[in-house]
Amino acid sequence: MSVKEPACDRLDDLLARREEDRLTPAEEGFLRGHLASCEVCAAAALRRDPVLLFARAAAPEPLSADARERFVSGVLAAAATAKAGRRLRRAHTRPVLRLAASLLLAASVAGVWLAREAGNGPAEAPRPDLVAAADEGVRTPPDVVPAVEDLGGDASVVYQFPSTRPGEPTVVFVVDRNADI
Amino acid sequence: MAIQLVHVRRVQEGTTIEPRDERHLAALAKAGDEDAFAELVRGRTDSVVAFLRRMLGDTEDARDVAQLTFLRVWENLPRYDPSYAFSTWLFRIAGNLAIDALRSRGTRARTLAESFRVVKGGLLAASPEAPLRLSQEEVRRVFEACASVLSEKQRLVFVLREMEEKESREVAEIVGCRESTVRNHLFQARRLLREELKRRFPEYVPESHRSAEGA
Repeated sequence: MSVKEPACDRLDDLLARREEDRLTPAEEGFLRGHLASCEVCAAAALRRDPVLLFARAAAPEPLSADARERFVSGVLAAAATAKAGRRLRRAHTRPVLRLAASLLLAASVAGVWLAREAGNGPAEAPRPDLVAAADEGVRTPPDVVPAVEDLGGDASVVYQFPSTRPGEPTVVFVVDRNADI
Repeated sequence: MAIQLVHVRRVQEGTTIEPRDERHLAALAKAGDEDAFAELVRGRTDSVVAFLRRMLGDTEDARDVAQLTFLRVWENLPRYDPSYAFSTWLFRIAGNLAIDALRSRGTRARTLAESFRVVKGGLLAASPEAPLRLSQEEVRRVFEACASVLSEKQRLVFVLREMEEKESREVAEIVGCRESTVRNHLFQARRLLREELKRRFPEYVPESHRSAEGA
């Protein structure tokens, strides 16, 4: 049994404005609270709008602590899997880079080979600098330090060996850690 | 190698995180902090699963779609705009996935819902307080049966507005439409539910409604 409260007098007005979706958040809270506590008004409200019944639908039970932790672990595992999958896809979607690196390497090797072939030609006169060095008996290979450019992250590294003598080509190696061999 | 130490307060199980904290956690997660992301998930699991349960009517489906929701959140964190509340963004993703799930179910679920009937409804027909005597679980089942007549958008708006008790302004942000459109969806959903309730569960509709709307 419920006693009629002052709030009950406001029911008609509140329900009318609810139908037009014109209640303030405070009024909505007030109406919900009152309908939950006053059986007379709850019955009257349902007579006015039967759809209000669904506001009483059970809120689903919260997960147990164990179930929640299992859920969180599942989400994190799925996120990690998705992240790994993305990295793998990224590695596989860089064929252009791999092809460019291969072509560059092939061109460098071919350049060196052609330069050596040209150096072995019969009609060519000996180079004066080599002759001079040979004459002095101190012909040692100079130290060659490559220029290294790391493209960052897990991307490629470029090694550039400068030419040590005039006419010698520059050799460039591109190391792609993600390249499939 | 520089190591960034980030302190993340562990959120008590089942409690809701304050919106300001959520934005902070989202910012940390956006920078790659997995602990912060785990706290976000932990703090929002119950509310997202509950919302999806109301949208989909099935606990297992709700958990699956909730997991997918958080996965989408993780993947799209770089695009999260902190000017929106994190919960609004989260519910927008969950709502879109719920609509996709409802569409993929198609007619199968509707047919099942059509076949549902509350057995003891007839016994309560004579009492004007009959709806009040339904258990919350029975109310939920009646809703499931009646909601099959709603479009996905109507259902989304009705669940957010009437059951999740969100304001029209926030519902508009979640659904991605104007408040006037939210009102329109809400009015249509109420009307359709009222008609379906009267058609299938007349014992829960007052006599005045049955005669007035039936005339």
